[in-house]
Amino acid sequence: MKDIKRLLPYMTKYKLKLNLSIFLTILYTFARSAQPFLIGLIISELVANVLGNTPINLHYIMIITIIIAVCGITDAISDYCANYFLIDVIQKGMYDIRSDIQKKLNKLPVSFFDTHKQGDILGRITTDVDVVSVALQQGIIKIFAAFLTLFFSIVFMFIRSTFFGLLALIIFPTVYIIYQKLFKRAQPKFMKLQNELGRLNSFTTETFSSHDVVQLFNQEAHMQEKFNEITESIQETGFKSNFNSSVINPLLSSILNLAYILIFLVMGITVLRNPLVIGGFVLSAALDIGALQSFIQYIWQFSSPIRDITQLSNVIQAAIASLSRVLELLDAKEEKQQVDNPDITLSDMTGQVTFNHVKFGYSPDKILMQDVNIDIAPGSMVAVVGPTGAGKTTLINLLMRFYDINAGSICIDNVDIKTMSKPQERSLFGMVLQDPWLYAASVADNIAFGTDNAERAQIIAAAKIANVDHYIRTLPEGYETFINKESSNVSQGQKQLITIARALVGDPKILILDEATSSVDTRLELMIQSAMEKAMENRTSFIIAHRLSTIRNADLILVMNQGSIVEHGTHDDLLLQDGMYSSIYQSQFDS
Amino acid sequence: MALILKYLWRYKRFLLLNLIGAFGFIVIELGIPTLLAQGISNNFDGRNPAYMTTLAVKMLICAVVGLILLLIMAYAIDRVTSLIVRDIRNDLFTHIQRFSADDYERFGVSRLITNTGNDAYMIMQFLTLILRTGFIAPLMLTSAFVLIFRQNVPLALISIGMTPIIFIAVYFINKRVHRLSAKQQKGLDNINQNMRENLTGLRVIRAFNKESFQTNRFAELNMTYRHISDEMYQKLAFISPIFSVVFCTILVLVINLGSLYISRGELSVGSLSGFIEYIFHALFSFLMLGNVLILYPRFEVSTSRIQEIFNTKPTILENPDGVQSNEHIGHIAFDHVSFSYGDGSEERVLDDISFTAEPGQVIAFIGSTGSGKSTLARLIPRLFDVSQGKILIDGVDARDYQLQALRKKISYVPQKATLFAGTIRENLLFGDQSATDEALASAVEIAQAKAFIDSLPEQYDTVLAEGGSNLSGGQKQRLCIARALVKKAPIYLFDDSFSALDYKTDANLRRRLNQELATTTMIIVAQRISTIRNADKIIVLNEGQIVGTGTHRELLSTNAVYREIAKSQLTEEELAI
Repeated sequence: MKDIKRLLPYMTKYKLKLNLSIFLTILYTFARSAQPFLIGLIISELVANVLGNTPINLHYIMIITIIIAVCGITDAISDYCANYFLIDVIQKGMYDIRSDIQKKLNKLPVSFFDTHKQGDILGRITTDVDVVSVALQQGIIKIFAAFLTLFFSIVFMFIRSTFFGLLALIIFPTVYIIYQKLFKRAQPKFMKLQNELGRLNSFTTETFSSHDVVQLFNQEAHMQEKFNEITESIQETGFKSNFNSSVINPLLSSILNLAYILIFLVMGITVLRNPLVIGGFVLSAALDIGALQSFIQYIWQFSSPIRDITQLSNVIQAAIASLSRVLELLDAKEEKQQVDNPDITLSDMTGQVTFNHVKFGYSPDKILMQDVNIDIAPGSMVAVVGPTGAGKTTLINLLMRFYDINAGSICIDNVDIKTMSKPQERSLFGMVLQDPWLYAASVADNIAFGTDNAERAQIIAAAKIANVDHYIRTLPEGYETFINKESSNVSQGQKQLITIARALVGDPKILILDEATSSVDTRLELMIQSAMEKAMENRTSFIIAHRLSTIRNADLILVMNQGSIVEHGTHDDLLLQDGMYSSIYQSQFDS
Repeated sequence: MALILKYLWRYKRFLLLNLIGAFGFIVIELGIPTLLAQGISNNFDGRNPAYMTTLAVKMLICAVVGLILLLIMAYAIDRVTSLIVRDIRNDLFTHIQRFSADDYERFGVSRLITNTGNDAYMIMQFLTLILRTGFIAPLMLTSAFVLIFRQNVPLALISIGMTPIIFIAVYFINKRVHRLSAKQQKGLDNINQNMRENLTGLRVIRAFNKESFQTNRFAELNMTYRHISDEMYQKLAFISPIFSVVFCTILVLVINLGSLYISRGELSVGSLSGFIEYIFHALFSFLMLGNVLILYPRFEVSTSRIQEIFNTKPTILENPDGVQSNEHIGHIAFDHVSFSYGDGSEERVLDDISFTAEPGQVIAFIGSTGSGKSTLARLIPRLFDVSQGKILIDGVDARDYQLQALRKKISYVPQKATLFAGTIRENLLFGDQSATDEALASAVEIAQAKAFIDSLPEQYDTVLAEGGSNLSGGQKQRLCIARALVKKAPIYLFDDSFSALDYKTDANLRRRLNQELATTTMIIVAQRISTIRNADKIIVLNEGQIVGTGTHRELLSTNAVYREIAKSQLTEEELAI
């Protein structure tokens, strides 16, 4: 409930339309519920006329039908308008929520993304938002309308006859409870079916994508057997879950039918002869066939709002769960926003980097770096080496200020990076990660991503340094070639080159490179290597290195282990130290 | 559609049940109002309790019979649809399993998964609806119309004349909505894709200060989506008012005219009351039918996609009269083999390849990506068929074997470590379902997987997640090698299968393999020189052609392509050895 309240601001922002929509919904459910009542009046009149042998009161009937027509038109117009306004409010509200989420993603610290599973965050910002949106769009108004319909129907029945009104008050909750029970019984079966469908899909995914292995090991029959087992079990579960829900409607209408018949009998035998009087209170006038007719129609019509309420209340329950997950994300603590440091001129910086007594850990009780001191001259090439899992990305995290250090300082040209704003600091860097992330846009746009307002000439120049200009020109639309969503129309190696061009387009002072280990084509590998070498010229560069030649050419080698820098020096220095570096070097060379 | 009818026909007795059941609906929805109308018409027969009781009993019979029939219908429909979907899935799976690598490539694995999963499900859902509504609605309409006509012809004409308006309106609105909904789905995909992009590219976006740029891109997608959703829901909102207006118009006309007839004594009040009920039901079945039929295009898409699969003959056809078994020796001979994908008109991936491999030999293939080395390996077990020339396995053309017999001779370790959900034991038994525990243990020991399996709490019974994702790359690769060893074939194919191993394990593994597989034929495809430098024969491929054959040392001094590859991977000291 508290969560739903949080949703209100998104809706009440468009208060006028929302209120209008609520008002119109009341209007149309009222008009719609009036119909059986009015028809009942006509039937009563007709019966009275026929029994009384008086001429049919055509005038009266005309007037009532005019009211019916007015109700019908009111119903139609206000139904449409109510929906029209509500759709507008909800879609705008969802638009606002989505933008808020997107903006929120930009403000959360990197650590948030590292400590939460990507699938989980993705689920919150996609599926959960959709669930809320659909529930709002299709659920809220229907439930609201269903309750109103029930309410007005009962009101009309009381107007017509207290007895019928009281009967309705008993019948509806009973039917509702029974319906809910039946519905709940069908639910777990559906969950089971969903699970089994999931099992089916993962089985086919596995078998089809490993078809060569299945075939070469002659295991087709074995796989078919397993598959048939799954489909047989889906057959049974599918039947059960469908049957469970298929019987709900017939059973529900049967209950209403029984009520209908019972009332018919009671009415026919007693009430229609004499007025029904209990304790001196006239509950129903005699011979009220019209009332019977409208009562029966109301009962007929009840099954649909009751069904709506039950089914939608499940949708809404799921939506509430989703909403709270979305709100959790919107409530997560944001990064502090810093203003630009006015005392520094970025273009004058040389790219000298110093670590002074750096102390860092991802959590304060687990410190990885105790006291790291390094001095890196402008323009030098720094190779970062270490076994897998040694925390080489930690260094990137600190340099790029994805994380802040616990104590000490990291300075660029003797300016503590903490005193700069993050955008300021980051614009000094170019970064190439191992996983070449590109976004769905043209090749040119992707390279231009590296800086603000890059001109075509800059883009081409960067591509040339990155050895990718020639390749791009062979693409069907050259620089305008659109990289598709999965960026599958460009090979892994070419993507790597494009990301190098992207890092260079802003002509950064400092470069961070992550050498790829994945096995790409030998020729491409050479191209990437030479592109990286060219890129590092005249820049301070940090390269996470796997290649011995790269490491040996470095001006400085940082050896990392367990999240910290354990040794640093040149290749020869480190070999002499006979520590970690020398053992890594030996083991690789031994092969 | 023909496809579905074929399956439906298999279960025709359920269809008959369904038809019988559909009458249950009529009995309830039209029978009870008719009885009520009778009661009203006869003014409850001057307060005659016996007459009332008879009517009530008749109603009760209607209700009970109707309920039973409806339950029968529910049973028939739910049974027949789940059976049909099971059959479709099983037949699809059988058919798809016969596909060759080419066919998989053409259709794409994700499409095939959709075929057996969602498409089949879609068919089930549509069938469930159409078997219900498709049987009930026409019956309902006919019965209601007959009843209406029996009451009064002019009134019937008015109402029947107006009902198609609902059907047509619903159909067209839904058609429009359907198109919009496809667009809306696409819009949603774009939004979600963009969100995913923001997550995966988080560090890059931050590093290049592109947060607001991304926000603007998102705003655009978000706005497009909002507009499409607006439009779609607004169209959808028309259906209910149209229904109300048509129903209301009919009501007003019928009541006024009806009253006139009553005043002339040509119609009874009960008939008029029954009439109103019938109209409501007739209109409602139109609405239902319109709603169901709109799903037809989606159903049609699903069935035609499945039909397409059934219509596709596998590219690699089994030779039914082929050799079933011959002596397992392990002799391979490529005789002027050329290969290109598709019908052979495309560029050649392999061009005039000839070589032989004998038992006891290690033959290695090296070359850059696109040189055709993996394709070459995959030709041997007929994952693809040669375009020209022939491959002889133990003296017989690979195409002249029955597939099972050919593949029995070959043990294969794929490039990408592919394991299946299930226990480690089940995965190893894939190599030979009848292998003993000792055989498994020995394969595991050779494959250097003993230590890590022993360290797992459940050892051989450890359950692997889908694709073996709970193991490291190196562990998966070693299990794949162990699985191949369990098969004990005369020919071993290693398709770049050592890439995820560290140097020490790689070396130990290759030493053990050389010992254990000393009498088999080993074909190794590799990226890394270090993996193959000790092979008996190294064949260098470049753009589909053999550009060099020899040992590591020979090639290093005579072959330029080989030297270039070696230079990029080895240090100067290593090159000199």
